[in-house]
Amino acid sequence: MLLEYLKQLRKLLNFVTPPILVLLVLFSVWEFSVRISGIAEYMLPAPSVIIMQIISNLPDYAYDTGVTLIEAIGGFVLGVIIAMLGAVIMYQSRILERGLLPVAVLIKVTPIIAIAPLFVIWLGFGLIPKVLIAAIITFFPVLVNCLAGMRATSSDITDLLKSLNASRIEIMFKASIPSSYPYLFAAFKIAIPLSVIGAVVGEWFSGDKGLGSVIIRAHYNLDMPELFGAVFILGFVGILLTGMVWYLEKHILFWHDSQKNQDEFL
Amino acid sequence: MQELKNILDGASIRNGLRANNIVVSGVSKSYFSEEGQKYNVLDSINFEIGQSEFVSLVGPSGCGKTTMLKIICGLINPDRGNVTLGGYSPAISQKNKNIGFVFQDPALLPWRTVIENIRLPLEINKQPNERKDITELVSFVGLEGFENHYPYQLSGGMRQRVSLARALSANPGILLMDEPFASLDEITRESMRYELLRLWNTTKPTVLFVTHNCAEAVLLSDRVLVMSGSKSNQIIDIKISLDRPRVANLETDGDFNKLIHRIKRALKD
Repeated sequence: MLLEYLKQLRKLLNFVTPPILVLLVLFSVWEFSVRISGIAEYMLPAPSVIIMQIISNLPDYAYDTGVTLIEAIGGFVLGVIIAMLGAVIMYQSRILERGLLPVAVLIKVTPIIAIAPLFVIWLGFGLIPKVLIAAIITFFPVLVNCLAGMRATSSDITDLLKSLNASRIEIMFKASIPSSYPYLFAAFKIAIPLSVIGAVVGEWFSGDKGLGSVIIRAHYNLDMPELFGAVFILGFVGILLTGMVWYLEKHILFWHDSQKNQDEFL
Repeated sequence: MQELKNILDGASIRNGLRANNIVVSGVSKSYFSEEGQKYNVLDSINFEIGQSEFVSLVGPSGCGKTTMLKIICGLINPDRGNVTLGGYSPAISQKNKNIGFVFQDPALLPWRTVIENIRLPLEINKQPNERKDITELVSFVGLEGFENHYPYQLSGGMRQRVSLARALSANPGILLMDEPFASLDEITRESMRYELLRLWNTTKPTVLFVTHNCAEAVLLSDRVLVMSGSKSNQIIDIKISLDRPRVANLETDGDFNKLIHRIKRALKD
């Protein structure tokens, strides 16, 4: 029991030590360069100053982080649901795909920064415009990958199901949708950091809550430690969310080839 | 009228009045290449397979064996001619789950366990309250103890056993096999052949077995149909009059080798 626990701990250490060491080296270089060069704090604060800033304003930062997280995750979930429904509809017929996919591409190629102010004007200063912006930015990669994954279903498996008189719906649920999971998770890994970008961009244009608005406020006040504090937390949030997707992938896609040579820990 | 006939047909099949013969009459199929050139894969093919007969279809690659198999189970429609299975069209036979299909690739669903894969045919078009015990089938194909394993945890031979058990789980009267052992190693292939014969001997489905291995065809079959690559309309019918059950030292038998030579000659014609 204890031995098992220690083994688990060693695996964890093996997993987290290398990146932590690299980060420590980077931060040390940063810290020393700032101190030696004597660069002003409003240009580039030292990491120690930024970390102290976060610690001394922890409740405020925690609140803003919570707001941004809710917007990002809400937008991600909404975007994924819409994308999967869209993929299922487009999978039904090539004509529907030809009609709908260009619309999706149009939404994708329009810079999100250009649409964000519109959403604020239409939907006000609350959570909804930010969630929608995050949803729009996550929607496209998920849609395209889900569709590609469904189309990549083994033809032997669809032939087998057809030879059993399976309906289109049965083929879709028994074979096509599970076949798309590896593609979906690849899209999730791209989409989850995008959803954070969407939430932050939304906050830039409206409101006084969330890490995006902290950045804007700090920018006006030239308060670089506050700004960098928000940036550090956003980086941490990105890593956390991506780690969660990896963890889920490992446990849901255990049957897929992509999971064979993965790190032991996740 | 046709609908009523279909319903009655379905009922009589369920009541066990089925003769599981396969009749292929005048089936033609051609494909067009990208340059628009026409290829006759099958040209007025005729043959019949009796109930509970084990027949192999032998031919070089590209001669249309797989196309023929897919036409029989209704996955491809022929340009001309028709196929009946026990007197019914392939579509009705599909509805009655009377066709089992085994591919060269086991084509298992990787996210399902062995038992869930075998159950798949029973889940399709499922009636409420329909249950069937398949534990006997699982042990019959030698998979007991592996019920909850996933395909990635199994060897190639075991995956093909799962595929075979899946084809048999709805208890079809007709079993179509498309080079099922071609991707297995020689030793596994040997044992799978005898395993297949043992399975066939218990429920006696009608089997159409596609292969390009002449020895395999002779070892398994009552009859071998040889399709030649050059003439797309010709089928040479060779009766295999070896005693059953077929035994392991058959390869040294003189008649066995004579039959293989006959098939090889027919292939060259």
